[in-house]
Amino acid sequence: MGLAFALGLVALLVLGSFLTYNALVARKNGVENAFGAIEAYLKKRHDLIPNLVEAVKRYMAHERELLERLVELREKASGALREGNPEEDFRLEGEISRLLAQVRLRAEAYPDLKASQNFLQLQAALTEVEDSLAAARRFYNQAVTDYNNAIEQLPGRLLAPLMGLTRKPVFTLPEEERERPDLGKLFG
Amino acid sequence: MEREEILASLEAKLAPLEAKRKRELLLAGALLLLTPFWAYLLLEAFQAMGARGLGSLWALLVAIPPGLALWRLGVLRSTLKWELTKPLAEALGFTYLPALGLPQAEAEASGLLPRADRYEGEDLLEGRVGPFAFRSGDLALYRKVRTKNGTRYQRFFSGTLYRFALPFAFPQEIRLAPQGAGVRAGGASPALVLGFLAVFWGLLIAGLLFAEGEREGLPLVVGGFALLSLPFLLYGLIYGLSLWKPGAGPKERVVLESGAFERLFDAYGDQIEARKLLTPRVQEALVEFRQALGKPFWAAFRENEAWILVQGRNRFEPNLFRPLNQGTLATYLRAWTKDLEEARRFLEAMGLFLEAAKRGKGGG
Repeated sequence: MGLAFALGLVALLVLGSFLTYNALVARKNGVENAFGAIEAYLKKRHDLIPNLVEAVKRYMAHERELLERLVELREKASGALREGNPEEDFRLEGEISRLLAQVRLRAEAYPDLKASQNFLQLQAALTEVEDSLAAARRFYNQAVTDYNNAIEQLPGRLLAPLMGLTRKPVFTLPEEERERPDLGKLFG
Repeated sequence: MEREEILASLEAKLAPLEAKRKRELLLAGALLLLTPFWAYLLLEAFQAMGARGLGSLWALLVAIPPGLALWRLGVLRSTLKWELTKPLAEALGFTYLPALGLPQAEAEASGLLPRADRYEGEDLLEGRVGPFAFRSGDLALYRKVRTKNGTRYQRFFSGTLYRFALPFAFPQEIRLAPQGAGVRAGGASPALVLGFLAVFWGLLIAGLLFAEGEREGLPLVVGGFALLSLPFLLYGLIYGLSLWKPGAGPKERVVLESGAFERLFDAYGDQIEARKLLTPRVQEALVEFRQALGKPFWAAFRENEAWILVQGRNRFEPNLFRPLNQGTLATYLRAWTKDLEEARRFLEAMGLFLEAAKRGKGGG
């Protein structure tokens, strides 16, 4: 009876460890999958930026500095993405989002640009990508929250250090993006 | 047409409709009161003729007066809808046909309805809200029930189904269901099914462990749990098989940020596409819409279409026993205008007007 109980307990522990291990691996892969989705949309956005700049620079001659800054940031962000530096990439992407919003706002002052079919198509494509990007970030944050909970709660907490799993950061909006945009300042 | 104008045009119909209502109610009441005497007379007549073994014919003849009464009340109900609801719907720019419903094939194409042996539809309402054309109808689903007295149809689901044509497409299907209710009405979520299975098999195993000492035959407690768990196991297997059925809708559950939303709904679909539609603002609006509606609902977004199925809704229903006067008319107008505006409120909650505007398709 005693031996049967001990064997049963060991079997239960082994089964529990297998299940926990599999659950942690699934959570880790879930985070990687979600980050992969963000990367795909970021790359799509990076591909659209040169076309956008090309389409608007003829009309927005006075905004040369803003457009140059956008191209420069896009280069840096692409580099960070290639190097697999998510935190730096997230920071740069936040800045790109802010500059793209400025381009859109300032485009309002150029009627010829607003009527351009090419610009309208690019703007629609960019909006679509940004919506997808926002959704992908929320998916990533959910996956990271699930992952962090799994490694910090029992029984995952016992197994996670042995598997070398550590907390991952959630994607947060930069401070300037959380504030309401100062339209007066944007229009200079 | 302004509200006052509609009210004036409908008020003119009140007196003749009230006279008709009283007449029909009186007739229906008389027919129902007549039924026991009619049954007795028939019985006497059958006995006088020495007719034996004609119980079914007798029952059929007895059912004539109550059948007539119910038919008259049905006609009165249709007349009230035709005379009062239809003009109101038309004044608001909709087309309303009280006796027709969405065809069964169209309703089933939503993928939201459970399998049924009989389908009934009424209150077909068509129209346009902004850039969205829509069709809707009330429906009732019946299951065939076999008893020792024969076969009858039992209603197991009723509600309202809306079908919206969208000026843009969803690349992948997204579903919304009441929490724990499964992707289509009349089902159960995988978590609920697994929960049941876990509880019953857990109890079964516990029963086996506790009954270790008893070697002779299967202990009663284990046998009892085994029997109890069988239907749930069967249900789990059927559900599992349904997952492989093509066209059964998306299976991947999408966990969203809002706690209030998660307590009320389950969302299914592609993780990114579902989040694009169900933004935090839309989640909040859907919670408010659900609370205002007071009924559970399912929704499906597929290609250029959106479907919504509201359980337990019965629109444009007049109360046959309420005298038709100005007060009643005002109450009906308030309730039915709310019913007619339901499509707009759903589209607003889903943020679909904004979505159409963003894609440059917000015009009417």
